[in-house]
Amino acid sequence: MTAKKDDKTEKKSLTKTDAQKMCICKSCPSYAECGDQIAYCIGKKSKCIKNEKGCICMICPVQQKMDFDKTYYCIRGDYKSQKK
Amino acid sequence: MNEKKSKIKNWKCGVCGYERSAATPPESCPQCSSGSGEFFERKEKTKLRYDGKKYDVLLINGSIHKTHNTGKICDMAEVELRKKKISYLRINLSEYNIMGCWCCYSMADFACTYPCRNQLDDAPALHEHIINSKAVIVASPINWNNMTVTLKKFLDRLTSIQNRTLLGKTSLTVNKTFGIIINGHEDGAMKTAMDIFFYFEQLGYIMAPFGIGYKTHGAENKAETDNDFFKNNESLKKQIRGVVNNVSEMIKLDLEKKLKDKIKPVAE
Repeated sequence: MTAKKDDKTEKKSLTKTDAQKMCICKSCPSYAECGDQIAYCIGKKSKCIKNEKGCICMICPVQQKMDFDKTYYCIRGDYKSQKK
Repeated sequence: MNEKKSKIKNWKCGVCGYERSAATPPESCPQCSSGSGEFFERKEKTKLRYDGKKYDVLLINGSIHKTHNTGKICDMAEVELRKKKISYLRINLSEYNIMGCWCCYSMADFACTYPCRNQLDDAPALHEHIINSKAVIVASPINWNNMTVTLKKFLDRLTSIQNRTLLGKTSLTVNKTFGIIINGHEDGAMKTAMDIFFYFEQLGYIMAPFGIGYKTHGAENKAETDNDFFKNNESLKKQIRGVVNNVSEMIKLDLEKKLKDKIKPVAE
């Protein structure tokens, strides 16, 4: 069986507002509510999330749209900082 | 008395988990007979994080024992890698927390992702080492004509990398190189090697020519004589030198770069 064809669709950038509407941070086993702004992959780290109890970033629509490939943005920092 | 107390450490057997507080680890573990080299000082374990370092070769010890027969073979491979001035990282899989694959793929093609859905253990950091090295050399003993469960758990976790090709994404491992070295008491060496081979073939790796070395001792011999046998066997040493040499020569060809975007993935 051969692999499926590549998806050649261009990746668009996302505003923070759009990302927060799409993102699934609140469903994550690591998530803790403390008034943070979610979509940590393009924003700031969480003030209160400290323990890596699991990560669901890899199936988040924001991650798919932006072609990100990191994890635990809430603890480790946004995509740009982890990419370095 | 205070001086003696301060020298007491908490030792833990890396094979079976047996613990003892003493100045030195036991010569032989009372629970599993593993040697003192398998003990480590018990500390709170933190999850492995990838440190960003890149190596030419990832040398993987697939045994539950880090210092026994397969460990000694890895020691010999390290000597050869250093002689060739090849940068490497040796990984004793038994020192890491690696859970079994969750088989997300069996739920749906797209459910198996890279990064792996399981971010709870040390496998994600090891994935980054796999992706950022040019080659892998796997050393394994033989359990029931097969690789160890220690090694299989790790190799199964590479599914998240392999599944990218099924999802139409760029392979992160195509055109890398690998070699295999097997040791065992009785038989099953080539079958074990081929089982390991299959994983890397499906990841797009290119096996080095004459890239499998193996040695078995024989059922007629006592297991406790295996260590001396493998340490001193000239034929095994030649095979280790050969596999390391051949992997090193493949690295020099830089096929990863030369074949970039030219290889069509064919995956299950």
